Order: sequence, then structure tokens, then C-alpha cells
Amino acid sequence: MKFLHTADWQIGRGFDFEGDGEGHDPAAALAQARFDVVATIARLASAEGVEAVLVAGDVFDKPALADHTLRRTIHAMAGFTGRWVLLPGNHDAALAESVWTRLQRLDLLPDNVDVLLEPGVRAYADHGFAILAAPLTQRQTHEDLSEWFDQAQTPAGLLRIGLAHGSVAGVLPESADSPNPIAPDRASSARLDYLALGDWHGTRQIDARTWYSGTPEPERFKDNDPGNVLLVEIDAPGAVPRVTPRRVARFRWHERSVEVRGSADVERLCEDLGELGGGDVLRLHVAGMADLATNEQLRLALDAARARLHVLQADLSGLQLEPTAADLAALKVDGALAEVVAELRDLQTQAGQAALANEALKLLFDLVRREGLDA
Amino acid sequence: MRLRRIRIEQFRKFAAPIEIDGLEDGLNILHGPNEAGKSTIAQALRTLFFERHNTRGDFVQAIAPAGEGDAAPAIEADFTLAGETATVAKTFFRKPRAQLTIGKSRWEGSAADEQLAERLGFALSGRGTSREDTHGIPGLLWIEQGASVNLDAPVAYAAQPLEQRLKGILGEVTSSAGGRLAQVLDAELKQLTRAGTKSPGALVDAARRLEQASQQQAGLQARADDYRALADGLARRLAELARLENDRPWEAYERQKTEAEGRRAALEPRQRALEADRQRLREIKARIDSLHAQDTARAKDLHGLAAQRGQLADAAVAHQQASAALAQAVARRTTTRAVLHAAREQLAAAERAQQRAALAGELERIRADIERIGKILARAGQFGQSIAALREQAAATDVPQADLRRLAELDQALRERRIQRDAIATRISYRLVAQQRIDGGPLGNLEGEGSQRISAPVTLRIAGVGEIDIAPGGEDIARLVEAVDRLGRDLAARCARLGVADYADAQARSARHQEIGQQIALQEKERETLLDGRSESEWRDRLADAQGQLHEREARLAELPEGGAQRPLEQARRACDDAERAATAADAQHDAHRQAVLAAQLAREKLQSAVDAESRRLDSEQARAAAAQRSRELAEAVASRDRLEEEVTVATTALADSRPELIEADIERSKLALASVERQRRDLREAIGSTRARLETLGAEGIDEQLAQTTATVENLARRVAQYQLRADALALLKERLAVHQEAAIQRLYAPLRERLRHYLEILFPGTPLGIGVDGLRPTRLGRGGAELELREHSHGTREQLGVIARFAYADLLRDAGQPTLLILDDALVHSDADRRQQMKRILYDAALRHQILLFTCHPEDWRDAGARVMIDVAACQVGEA
Repeated sequence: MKFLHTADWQIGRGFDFEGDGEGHDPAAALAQARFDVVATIARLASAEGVEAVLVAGDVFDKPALADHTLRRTIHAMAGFTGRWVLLPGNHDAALAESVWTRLQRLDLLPDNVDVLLEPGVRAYADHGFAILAAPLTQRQTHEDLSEWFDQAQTPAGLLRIGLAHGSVAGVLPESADSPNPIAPDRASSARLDYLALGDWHGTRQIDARTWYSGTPEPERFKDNDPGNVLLVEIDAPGAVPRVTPRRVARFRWHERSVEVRGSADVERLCEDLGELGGGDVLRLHVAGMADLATNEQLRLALDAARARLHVLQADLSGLQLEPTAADLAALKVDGALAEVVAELRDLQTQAGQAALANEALKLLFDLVRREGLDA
Repeated sequence: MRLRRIRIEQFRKFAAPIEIDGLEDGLNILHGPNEAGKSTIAQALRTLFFERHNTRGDFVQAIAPAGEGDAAPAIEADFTLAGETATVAKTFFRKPRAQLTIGKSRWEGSAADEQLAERLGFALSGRGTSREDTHGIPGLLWIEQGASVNLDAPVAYAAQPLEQRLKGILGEVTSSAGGRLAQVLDAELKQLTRAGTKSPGALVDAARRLEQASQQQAGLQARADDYRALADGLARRLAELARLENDRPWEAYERQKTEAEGRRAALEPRQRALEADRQRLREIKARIDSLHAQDTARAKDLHGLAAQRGQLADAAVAHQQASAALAQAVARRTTTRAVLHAAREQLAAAERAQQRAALAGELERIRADIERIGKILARAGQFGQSIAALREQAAATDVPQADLRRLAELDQALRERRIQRDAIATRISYRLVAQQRIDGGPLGNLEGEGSQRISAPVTLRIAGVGEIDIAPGGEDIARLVEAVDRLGRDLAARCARLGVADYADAQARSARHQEIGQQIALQEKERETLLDGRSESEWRDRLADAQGQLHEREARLAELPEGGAQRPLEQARRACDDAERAATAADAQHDAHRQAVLAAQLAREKLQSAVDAESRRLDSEQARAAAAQRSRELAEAVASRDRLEEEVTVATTALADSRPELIEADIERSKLALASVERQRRDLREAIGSTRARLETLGAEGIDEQLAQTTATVENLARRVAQYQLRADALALLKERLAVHQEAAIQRLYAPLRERLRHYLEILFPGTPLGIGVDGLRPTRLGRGGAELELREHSHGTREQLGVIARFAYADLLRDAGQPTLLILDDALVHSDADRRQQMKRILYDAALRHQILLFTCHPEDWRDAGARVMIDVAACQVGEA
């Protein structure tokens, strides 16, 4: 038996990257990529000939989405006509009024798409498996909703597959006090052949039968291996599953920090940036110090990268402008102006004033150069 | 610089040469009475240094001695410059010449002029006389007579060479880029923070947009919160409804209600019987009340009838009185009407007499008119006949003018042709012997002697001889003969057509015709005057009108009977008016009385019928019987009432023991509980329905998505605002610090000048704390003992002293910079009092330790103790006198 395990599509997530005002709108492209990746998953499912695609919660990012967004999501799933099993997570909990009731009311769900709105066993005898579903019916709970799996009976001969959304208690970082806890040994205590989990956005194995698929399209700067779906193969009930992550994401998100001390560092940064392209979203923290030439070199490098990358967010607040004596001489910074520069450089070292002083220095040099006051 | 000797020749008042020699370092006092030429010496020094040797024009008048048009002013001076001996000599106008030697170097002409300017720090004017603004440093240090107060202009004119020469000790006075950068910073800051709505600064604009977006976000957030609250509320209500449907509490209330209703049914027959008795009792009581009321009403009506009878008697009396008054009014009315009739008769007679008189007058006038018009018409008839006769004559004598002209032309042409024909006709003269004749054809038989003119060929036959053909000369004669014939025929025909013998006759007739025409015109004019512009038929119409009027008036007069008028018209009219008024008053009185009689009669009849009706109703036999019957009925009803009241009281007490009100309350409570639980279910269902509907509407709007987008916008804008704010703060910081440092730099630059000023001011104002403000290389403020004042706010004397001191200070600075200094004070301290002069002497002495100072004064005694090394009487310097 072969199926795809995915989760955390987070359809409807918004992004706050600013466009360049000339048609490049990275935020819109990132939102679009979330629909695209669903279509990619559907194509992969068809190509692999899987029995089903299991989505372990957070299909949608928010409860109140536009009808149009719901329609586009269902449309993106059309590429796979086999069985889709969707589970409500904390972002799209099965409340009295939810995206799910809206999908039902709008009559958008095709026959091959099941949404498991209530906890319980759903047997898919034709496909050879039974789903034990632990949907979230409220946004947060502090009970383990999968606890009943342990006592649940399933028809003999069908694989027992758990579908849940939450944090595996005590295993994930920062999960100590998380709501929606799931016992780390649930797969074994409930005699599951596989426990498909959602909520953690990186691909992660908990034990031989328990996996987080992670989000198929990353949406934050967190380097925990997002962007995959899991291809799960189980030969027979009781057999150990073979799990293969398959990359489906369009974008890669990176957050990097560099320390600049001189021109060589900028050159090295240029090389690093050179490896990135239109599929990359980068947040870059630049620290250290630069003289005017290095600063200019850095500016040019970042401008060039910005044109090439999908998104480049450069944070230069840690970079201190350190004009050299030659810089000052070249710009004819003398007399009162030289004293102002000295004062600002002194201010650069004071806590809370550094950013202001740095900005003032940059402005000073930019203006002197731009206005030709150095001539 | 040290001046040693000056020689001046042919310069202004010095026609004769003057030479001042022996000038020393330090203070030199040049004195002399007024008009001795002290200022001329100062002027000569200026001319020597500032003017080009070849300057011309008005300058000549300015420096030449009075009355010496061809003078050649010459000035020369010996001095030391930077330790070298120097001489300069210039001659102007006649033979322009300049010569300068410094040490071993020597310059001639313009090179000498330029070298001096370069060394001493002034400029040469391009053409013509030098100007104050080119005098540079010497212009500042050489104070013209009484001009020590003026400091600003000389300092400004000297600023450039001063800065250039003092650079070594003052440094750059202005920073190379600072000034312009301050402007750029200001402009950049405005770009960010400019207020206004049309084109606000980037920061202002972004902040405003952030504010808008934040409001939008808050609005959306509130709606999203609403959405969640609604969804939660929906879940809660769904749960509550489910619990109700599960517990089914209404079933217990239904059972309680059914049981209580059974108990109530058992009591019902007794309750109904009691209720029937109570109803009967109410009816009997009502009947009793009604009978009482009827008795009361009858008593009241009888009383009223008696009163009405009294009123009727009063009304009869009133009626009789009114009738009597009416009879009197009728008699009065008859009398006044007879009077009125007589008055009207009199008025008619008077009016008739008036009309007859008027008609007689009119008849007289119309008869006169008829007579006049008759005469006019008779005269007009005579004119008519005369004019008709004349017109007949005119027609008989009429010859049309065109025909007359044509006759004149033909007559003239005929005459001319006849003359021509006769002139060229062949003349035959013959003299025949007697008895002989010649057959002349058309000429007849020629016999005897005669002559003939022939104009056509003629054959003469002489019997027995033969024939002689004579043809008149040429063809012309034939043509003329033919023309005469034709014209003659034409004329004759025309005359015959006009009925005249010939042209002369036609002329005579035409003249006669014109004469008759004039007569006709005259007579017509006369006739027109007579008719006064009207036609004759109009006059006849008028005549007929007048005759018609005549007949009509005569008829009217005949109709009017004569006599009967006893009074004149006006009197008759007044008498008639009086009678009319009296008759009208009598009529009105009569009407009033008649109305009063009618009213009294009506009132009486009304009362009579009311009394009759009431008597029939109340006093009849039938009415009395009915009243007796009612008394009996009342007694029976009272007995029945008392009996029934007793029975009802007993039954009521018996029923109350069974507590029917408690049973009713039980039923009511069950019903309320049922209604309440039903209402709760209905409310829940409605709330669920409406909440679902609202959620559907809100959900379809995609609020969360909108919120996410707006949140992204807010975050972007917040970042942008932060960037702009940082930039604005940085610009403000730069601007502020730059201003501070520039000001500090300027103050530092002026420190040496301030120090020198302070040096002298401490001598001038010993023991007083001093504040000195310097700006742009000149002292601007001076404070003593705390109060600092602008320079111009000080007294004239103090400003004069400060002017001198400032120059000493500049001289000190120049000396420190290795530059030449020479100070000239021409009556520079005339406004200083004795105390200040004492202090200024100390200052002079101090300054003279470092500089050569030439002091011109007419009071040498005032300055003798200033430490002068040399005192020269200018008056004694004429060459040759010394």
C-alpha cells in the first residue's frame, strides 16, 4: 500500500514582502506558490499511483477565507482523482462555522475528497486501510485527542493509520507547553501501522512509524527542512513503513548572518549570493564595519542580488560605517564637517545611538558626494 | 612699513612744493592750524598709492592746484618695506610717470602701480579714479578726516585681502563644504517632513498612510474577532439546543397542566349556577334604578311647564306694543312719500327749461354753418366751369413737344438743302429773237429773254433745228434735288397730320397751349384755397350733416313742452335730495318696526305651542296612570332583590371552600413553563439561523485574508516609516551638529582678533569686565559690566574710539602675519572727552610700539604727551622756507 503524507498547506497565508513597484510582487508569488504546490502534490500522487493523499491538518491558514480561495484550493487538487483525506488542524479547526462548513455549503467538495470533521474510525476497505482521525474541533486543547486510538477497533486486514495534528510532547523543541499534545508513543500504544502528523513545518521522523511531513511550501525563515511530502509504502499490516521525503516546494527560505570586516568579506558574500536565484527568499543580517568603498561595494552587491533573488531582506543595522582617513580626505571633509564626523563616530559606539549615528554618517557621505561638495 | 619722507608738488593747495621729512617709527604728529594742509597731505598719500599714474578725467580738477590748468602734480615718498628701503614717485597728467624701487628692484609705469597694490593689499580700479571699495587694507588703516566711526564698509572692502593675508594666523574663515551642506540637509529634511496634503514629505505621507492602514487593520481585526465570537456563540447555542432536545422538559409541564385542568372541570356546574343568580341580581338592581329615575324626571318636567306658562303671558304683551309702534311708522312713511313726489315733478320741469335754451343756441349755430358752406360750393362750381372751358381750349391747341422738335429739324434741313441745290444748279440764260421759241420740256416754252436754273437733265427742242440735251454738272445736283423733294414731302405730311399749315403755325399753337395751361393752374390754386384742402364732395357731406342736425334739433325742441318750472334748476335739485333722504329714513324706520312685530309674534307662537305640547304630555289621564303603575312595579322589584342577595351569599361561601383560584394558578404556571421552554427553543433556533447567516456573509468576504493583507501593508508601512524616521532623525542630528560645529569654528577663527580687541579695550575701560562679539571680521557687540550692546547703540565718541582700536587690532594681526602696516589718523578722535583721550593716548602709545602712526591734528597740545617721537608743523614745511 502506497500513499502520500502531507500537512500544513496553510492556504491563505499572507506575506509582508514589499514589491518593487514595477510589477514584481514577491508576496503575491509566495501566496500563489501555496496553490501551485497542491497541484504539484496532486501530480506526484498521480505519477506515483498512490492509494490516497493524507493531509494532517492546517490545510487552510485561517477560518475566514474568501470563497475564491476555497475554490482555487479544490481546483488545485483536481490533478489527483484518487482518495484525498483531509483533517482539520488548529488553523482550520472543525468549529460550528469553519472553512469546512463553508466548503460543504458551497458544495465544493468532490466525492473523492473526505474531510474527517469528527473523531472516529473511517474504513477504506477498497484501499486497504482504516483511518483513525483526531481532528481538532476547537482551536486549542490541552488533551491528547489521539488517546482514544489505543482502544479503537478497526476491521481486520486493514492497515491502521492514525491522522492527527499537534505537537509530540517532549520531543519537539519548544513543545513543552504547547497545546494539542500528542503522546510520543502513540503509534505503538495504539498498534498503528503509521501515524501521520501535522503542525511541525519541517519534515521530521519521531519513530519508525511516526512522521511529521512538514509543510510542502515553506513560509518562514526556519531551517528545519520544509518543502517535502512523504511517500509512505507499507507492504502489509504490521510491516515497517518505508518513508521517502520528496521535495515539492518552489521556494527556499534562508536566513543568514555575515560579518563584514573588509572588501574580502563582501567578495565572499557575493560568491554566496551568486548561488541563489529566483527561487530563493533570503533574509540577510550584515554586521561588522565598512569603510566607504566597502560600503559601496556591499551596496552594489546587494542591489545585484536583489534583482536576482525572489526576495532579499537585508538588515544592515549591525553594520557600522567606518570611514578611513583617506575617505575623509577624498571627500574634502574638513573643518566643522570633520568635527561632526568625529562626533558621529563617537556616537556609533554608544548604545541606542549607533543606528542613528550610522545613518547620519551614511547620509553625510552620500550627500557630500551627490551634491558635489567634495569638488 | 615706515614712511620716511613725503614730497608734494603742484597738488591742490600746494602749488609750491612741500616736503615732510624726518618721519620716524612710532607716533608722528603732524599739526597745523585749520587750512594749513594737513588733510591735503593725507590726500596726497592716498593719491600716490591708490591712483594709477596715468589716470585722467575729473581727477585733474580734483588734485590740480586751483587755476593751474596745465599743472603736473608730482608726489614722491621714501619708506621702508619689509626691511628694505623703498621710494615711489608719481607725476600725473602732463607727463604721467611712475617709478618704484624696493631695495635693488625697480619698476616703471603701470608695473610700479601694480607692485604697490600687490604689496600693500589693495586693488587698482580698471579705469579712472580709484574707488573706496578698491582701497583694501590701506583704506581701512588710513582713516580719513573724522571717519573713524565708519568701520563696516572699510572692513568689508578690506575683507578679501585681510582673509588672504591673515590665513596663516586665522585659518580658513569658512569651511569648504559646511555652508552648502547645511542647505542640502535642510532641503533633504523638508523632502521628508514637509507638511501639507498636496505633496507631503515622504515621512509625513508614509505616516499618514500607516495611520490609515492601521485603522483599516483595526476595523478588519474587529470584524475578524466578531467572526470568531459569532462562531463560538453558534457552537454554544448548538450545544444548548442539543441539551434541551435531549432532556425534553416540556413533557413534565404538560402532565402537570392536564391534571389541574381535570380538577377545574369537576367544579364547573356549581360555578355556572351561581354566576346565573348573580346575573339576575344585577338585572333587578338596574330596573330599580331606572324606575327611580323616571319618577324624578316627571317631577322636574311639571315644574318646568308652570314656568313656561308665565313666559307666554309676557310675550303676548310685547307683541301688542310692537304692533302699535308699527302703525305710527306707516303713517310717517305715507307723508314723506307725497313730499318726495312733488319735489321730483319740480326738478323735471326745471331740467326741461334748461334743455330748451341749449337747443335754441345750437340751432342758430347750425343755420350759420349751412349758409357758409352753400356759398363755398357755389364759388367752387363757377371755378369748375371756367377750368373745364380752358381745358377744352388746351386740348385744341396741343402740339406734342417731340413733334414740334422734329418739325423744327425738318424745316431747318430743307432750308439748308435748298440753298445748296440752288448754289450748284445749272443756269441757262437765253435771249431769243422774237417769235421764236424753244420747247424746254419741263421748263415750258422758252421765249424772249430769261434765265432758268435747272437741276435735272433737260432736252431743249428747237423746231426745225433739233434737240439740245443739257445735263446739270455732276451727280451731287441730282442727289440734292432728290433730298429737297424728300424733305419737302416729309414736312408737308407731318404738318398735315398735326393740322397746321407749316412749322411757324405749329410754333404759334404751342405758345397758345402753354398760356392756357398757366391759366388752368392759377384757377385750380384759387379753387383749392377756397375748398381749404377738402374735396367738394366732402363739403357737400358737411352741408348734408348740418342740415340733418338742424332737423333733429328742431324735432327735439318741438317735443319739449314749455313752462311749468317754478324754481331754478339748482334749487329744485336740492329740494328733491332733501325729500329723498327723508323718505329713505322713514322707510328704514318702518322696516325696523315691522321686523320687531314679526319677532314678537314668532316668540309668542313658539311658546304657545311648547306649552300646549307639554300640557298634553304631562297632564293627560294616560300619563297619570303610568306613574301609578311605576310605583307598584318598584315595590315588587325591591322585594325580589333582597331575596336573591341572600341566596347568592350562601352559594358563594360554599364554593370558596374548594379553592378554585389555586387550581387556576396551577394551570397557569404549567402553561407559563411550557411557553418559556418553547420560547427558549425557538430563540435558540432563530439565533442559530441568524448567526449562521451572518457567518456565511462574513465568511464569504474572506475577512481573515483581507486582514492578513492589511497586516502585511501595515508592517511594510511601519518599516518604511521607521526608515524615514531614522533618516529624518539623522538629518536633523547632522543639521544640528553641523550648525554647532560651524559656529564653534567661526568663533575660534575670530579668537585672535578678539584677543587684540580685548587688549586695547582693557586699556580704554580699565577694570571693567568686557564682552566682545565678532562677526565677519569686525566687532559687532561690545559689553561692559554685563550689558552687551550692538556697536551702533553706543555713543558717537565710544564708536569713534572703537573704530580706532579696531584698526589697531587689524594692524596687530597683519604685523603678526608679516604684513606691512601704516596707520594714519586724520582728526580721528575729535569727539573724545578728556578722560577718554587720556586712555586713548595710552592706547596710541602702546600701538606705536609696534606700528608707525601718522596723527594729523590742529590741537598738538592735546596729543603732545601721547609719546610722539616727532612733531611736525605742516605750515613750516614749504620747501625753501625751512
